[in-house]
Amino acid sequence: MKILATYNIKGGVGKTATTVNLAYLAAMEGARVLVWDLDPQGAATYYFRVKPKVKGGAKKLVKGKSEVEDLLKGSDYENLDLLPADFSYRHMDLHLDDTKKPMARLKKMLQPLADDYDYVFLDCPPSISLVSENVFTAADGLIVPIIPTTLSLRTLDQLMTFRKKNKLHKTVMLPFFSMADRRRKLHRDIMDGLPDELDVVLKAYIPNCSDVELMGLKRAPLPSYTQKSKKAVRSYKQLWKEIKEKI
Amino acid sequence: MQTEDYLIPLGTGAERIVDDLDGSLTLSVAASETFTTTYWDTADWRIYRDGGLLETVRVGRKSETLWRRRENGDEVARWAGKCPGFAWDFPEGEGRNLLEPVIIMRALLPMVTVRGTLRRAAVLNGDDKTVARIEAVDLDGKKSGVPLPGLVRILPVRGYDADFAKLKCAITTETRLAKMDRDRGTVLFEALGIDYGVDPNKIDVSFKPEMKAGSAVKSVLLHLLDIMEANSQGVIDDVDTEFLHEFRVAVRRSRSALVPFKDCFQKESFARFKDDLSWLGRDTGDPRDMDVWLLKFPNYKAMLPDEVKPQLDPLGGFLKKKRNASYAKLRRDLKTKRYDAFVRDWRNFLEADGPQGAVQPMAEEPVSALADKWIGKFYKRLIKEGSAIDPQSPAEALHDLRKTCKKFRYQIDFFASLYPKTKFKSAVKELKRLQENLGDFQDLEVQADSLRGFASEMIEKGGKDGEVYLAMGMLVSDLLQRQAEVRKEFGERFDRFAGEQNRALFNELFIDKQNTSNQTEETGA
Repeated sequence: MKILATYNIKGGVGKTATTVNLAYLAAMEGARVLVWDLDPQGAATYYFRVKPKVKGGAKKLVKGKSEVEDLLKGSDYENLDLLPADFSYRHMDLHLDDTKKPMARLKKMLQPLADDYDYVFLDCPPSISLVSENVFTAADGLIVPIIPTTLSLRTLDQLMTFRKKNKLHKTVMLPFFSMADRRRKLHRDIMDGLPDELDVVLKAYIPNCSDVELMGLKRAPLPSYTQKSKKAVRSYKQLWKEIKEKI
Repeated sequence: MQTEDYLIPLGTGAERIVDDLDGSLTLSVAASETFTTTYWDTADWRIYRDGGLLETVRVGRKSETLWRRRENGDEVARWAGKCPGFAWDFPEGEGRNLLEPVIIMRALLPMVTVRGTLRRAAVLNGDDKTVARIEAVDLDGKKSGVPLPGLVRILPVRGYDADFAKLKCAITTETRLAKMDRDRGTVLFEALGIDYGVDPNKIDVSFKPEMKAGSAVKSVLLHLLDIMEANSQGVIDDVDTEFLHEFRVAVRRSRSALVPFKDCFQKESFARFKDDLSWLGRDTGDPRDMDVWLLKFPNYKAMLPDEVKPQLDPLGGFLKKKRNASYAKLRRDLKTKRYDAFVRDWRNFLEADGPQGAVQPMAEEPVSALADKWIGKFYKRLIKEGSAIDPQSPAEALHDLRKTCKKFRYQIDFFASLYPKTKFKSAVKELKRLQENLGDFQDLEVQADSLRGFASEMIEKGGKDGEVYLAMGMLVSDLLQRQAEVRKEFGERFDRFAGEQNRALFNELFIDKQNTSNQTEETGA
């Protein structure tokens, strides 16, 4: 079981769309996939048309009093399940802090599912908190969508430093450009002129386009309702291919 | 919550079932798809008998091969594409690892192919979320000439148990379909009248003790002839090595069954068939030996040090050529008039009701008398031959004992149904252990001898690769060393077989009974 977390300290960077679309592509290839929507806003849960409700809430889940298997929901797609978001996840930090090994708790919670899934995608809330630190410990790969702007690159740099400082070398960094608009000079310059220390950025990028925005209306993964030939679909496929090669 | 299958009665289409459900549930019905399903199994139904079903489903250009458990439909493995011919042709992975011990060296054959139409529907909740699924199937019976039943499969979606329960309820109330009590493969095989799930090579004859000996022995031989016939085409087509193996075993068993047969019918009446069986026995020997060599070739290679392993490859090529030549001869012989006449006349002889050939008085006796006589006779011979063997005895003594063991084993297998199952099983247990030891002893010697023979042949044919002979030499020495170890174990195995406990069991089952019946007869006289 490989754990892939989609994370960025900033919101609105296409994080949830990435989680949902990559999870869908993995499932369509025949892999057994779970998406855990850790964000109390529950955007991924909404995309999958599932109610954002977890019996017993974050507290019971973190304390190990709820069986994770009992909380899972099947999506509309074969091989793709969801552990939904719950509004109580906003207090997850507090509950994690109450446990013996708060940093490793999330990883432990996923242990019973190790034989059931090939990939677990964690859709993380946009912040730096105990939840995100847990995610860094648990994840085999950290998928980081970044909008090609100077500030976003700075955030990525900070994240790389954090990883190094906390000796999270086992977690493969998978940053990529999201919502990229190559017609804009700034985006083009940043994408083409990356400094050497940021050469970890993946080659595949996701263009800023209305097809992706439609996901909220359709409440479904992009490749499930859009033609295969559309650029956005091809981009997510390339991204998934590149991620698989790295992990 | 588990997937459930419901049978659609003949004359009711799947479309109507989906329409009936659409009223009480919110359904999203997809366009119907046509598909072709092929069920695969080995000639002796190893997958089915192991509780599984292996099917390739083709929709449009896409094919997928699925292996499921029959009892609950659980998926064991899934592969993209068509079903390959042998376990070793499947892609490496867990699925193949699970399949290999089930089918071993047997080829997968298409048992049944059906076409059909699939209608998929999703049951939706208020958020238009899929909470359960329906797959309704119509099968096309045109090709098979018999109408085939359709079926409805309902599939739960994780975390939506209440919705699945609602769907089950709707199936019962709206469509009145009956839940299937068997898997869909079995239902289909039955509808098509296929003799499914049976090992055609298993001797399944059951005698009542009072049955007449003549007819009993004939029925065993008929059964063996059936096995020969069931496998001959597979040998000719060279489908897999087991066809020849089963064919040859049936020939050898038939030859052994002729031993008690001669008590019931005069020798002259079946002398011709005896000759034919000997001919087939000789004819199948070389090809089977070559099959065994090739099947074991990877093991022989594994016995050598890593750096020497590749040096053995020329032997593999030599064996393949030799196998092909010996198979070609056998194939020709199985297509001769002599073989056809043998099968036809032997069947006529065995099926004839009346006293064909000169019937001996024993033919009219109860079969149990015949069984006791021959089992007792071979048992005594076996004990005598085995007890005479000591560490200094020549290898031939063990080879002879092996032959006696085999003949004895065939006799007791023929007549197994006459004896209490549990006691019979424990009596045979030690015999099997002894046979294994004697079999290993002989096989190792034969293999070492054959390797020497192969080396000479390869040199005669101009083989110039000297390294292969060195590798073969290492194998010979290894095999002979193992043979010496096997020989050491013989004493212990024979002692256990001939031991007090086992002897008492044999006496009780076969010998004493015979004495008692003799005494009774004497008393009666």
